[in-house]
Amino acid sequence: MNWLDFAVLIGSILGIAIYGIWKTRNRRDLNAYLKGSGQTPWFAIGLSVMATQASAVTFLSTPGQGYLDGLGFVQIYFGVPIALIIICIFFLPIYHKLNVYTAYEFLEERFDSKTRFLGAALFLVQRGLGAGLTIYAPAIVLTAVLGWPLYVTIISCGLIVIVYTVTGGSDAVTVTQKWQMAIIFAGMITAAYLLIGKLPDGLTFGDTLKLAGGFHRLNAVNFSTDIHERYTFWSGLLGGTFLMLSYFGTDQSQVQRYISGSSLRESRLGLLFNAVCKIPMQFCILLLGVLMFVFYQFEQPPLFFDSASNRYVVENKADVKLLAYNAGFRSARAQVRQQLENWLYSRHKGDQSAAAAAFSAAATAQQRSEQIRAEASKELAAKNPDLKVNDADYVFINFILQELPHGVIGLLIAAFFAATLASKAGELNALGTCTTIDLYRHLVKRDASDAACLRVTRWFTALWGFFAIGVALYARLVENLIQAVNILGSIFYGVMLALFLVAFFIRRVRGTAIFWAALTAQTLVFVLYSRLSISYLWYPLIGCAVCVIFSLILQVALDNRQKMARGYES
Amino acid sequence: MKHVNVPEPSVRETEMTGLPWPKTWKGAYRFVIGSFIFWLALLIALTESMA
Repeated sequence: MNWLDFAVLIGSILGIAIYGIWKTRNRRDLNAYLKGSGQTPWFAIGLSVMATQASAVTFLSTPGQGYLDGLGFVQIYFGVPIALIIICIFFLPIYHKLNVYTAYEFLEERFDSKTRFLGAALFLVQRGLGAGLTIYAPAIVLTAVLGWPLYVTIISCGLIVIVYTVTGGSDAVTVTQKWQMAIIFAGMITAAYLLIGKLPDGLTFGDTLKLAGGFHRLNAVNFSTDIHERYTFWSGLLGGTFLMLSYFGTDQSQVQRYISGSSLRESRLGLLFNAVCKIPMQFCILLLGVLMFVFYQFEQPPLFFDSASNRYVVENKADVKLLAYNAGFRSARAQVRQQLENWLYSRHKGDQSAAAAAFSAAATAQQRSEQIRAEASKELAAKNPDLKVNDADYVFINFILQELPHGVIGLLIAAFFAATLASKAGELNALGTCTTIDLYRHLVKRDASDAACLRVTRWFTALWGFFAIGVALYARLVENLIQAVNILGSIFYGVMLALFLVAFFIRRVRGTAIFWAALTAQTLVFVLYSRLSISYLWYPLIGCAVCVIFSLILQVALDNRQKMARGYES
Repeated sequence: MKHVNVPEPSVRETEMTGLPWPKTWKGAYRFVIGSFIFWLALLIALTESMA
């Protein structure tokens, strides 16, 4: 990075922060800090909801996912349109009518105090852990750019996010998120434009698609009914609907964003905006990864994109085995390139049989290079257990730093930071709000004044920030950030959703039945997750179904016991 | 048991969106489903044609 990159990075991030402070300078009451000004238009709500979900992980790890596995990951978002329509029809009117700070206040209105506490606790545990994973993403960027140790960049990023969120509150989060999204889109569109320009001369749009398709990178929809396959049409549509319904409908970090609308109409339109845009947006980000894959078929990629692993290979020249792997990898990649150039030449000449033979040879060489990479990865892990090769999170940042011009590098790093600030601020703000409203004011000090609550919320927000930093320091253990965030949500969301679905639709079930059913179902999900190898997208559905069924059975048993007791009395 | 009444869908969904198009919420939901089907068809076509 040079002075131009730093100027773009610091200028854009500071500019947004100053704008947020200036716009919200006269709003310092509890309501504005927790729920915003109540005047937010639908477009700002829509961008705020999008920004809260789309953290730096989305823009850093998803292109890597596209590079390694193709477009299949888009299926996880198939549930978004259905889930958001359900929320618009059933969830939103209730939240607006009750004028709540948190979604869990509704659980007390409908059931009882302990069920509200359980809902809040489930949210705090899973979102607190998730917040750590998403702080890890910008730290990766800084480590790759500045070469600082990962723990230093994790702590620095965490502290910046804490200061930003504690000073701003919900209002500042919503006000600044639309500008953060503007920087993110500008950065991603610029990267895509430059990437397309870097593809080899003579490679047409049709050739690019054919090449990516030939390497199975365009398999976007998989109708397999195998429940062990992670991303299929069915797991995306059924499991994904439950996952997204839970996330958008019951996760306070999202609920807090859309209840800030000035009316039900604004909140609904903000959610429907996401229902329409989410799939094309994720498709485009994954496609960027696929284009990077095509680019690296004609350029020499490093043995590992993961900067720490790559540095180890470069610095340990005495390691003969790793050097041999590196040489073998480079030779295999050179063959891939040679064969693909032959394929392109034959294809344009109209010689189909020569083109097919060249492509087949390229695919074989590509497979060999991947095999060498896998073996080298094992060798590296055996030599240095601290190094776990995790290319998906590093592919895009590696491409940015190696291939893009100065100024654009600064813009893209600003985009990652904007994404981090946007999503982290929303999450920490929700964690602080939930801890204050559902735990502190509900269980500890019921008569706390608004001024005291505002002060306490700032402290809780900061504490959750420090907790997230602690989690991020261990985040290197996970296989891929974007998947880890979704897996974590999948484990908890099913039961959280069931609490709300039973509240809305099964009037017969009361507090005690749903409380014990939720605890049992959550325990069962933990056990199943540790024992089974099915796609994680099924867990929200399983957790939700089990909790609903258990609550009905328990309610019947409790009713029968009550009837029997009455019978004895009479 | 506490009851929180959910407003009747028939009343809510006939309200206007305030947009030039779609004018009703039902129309807005149909538009969302339509755009989902459009993207799904596009992705299936991409998968099938490039396999």
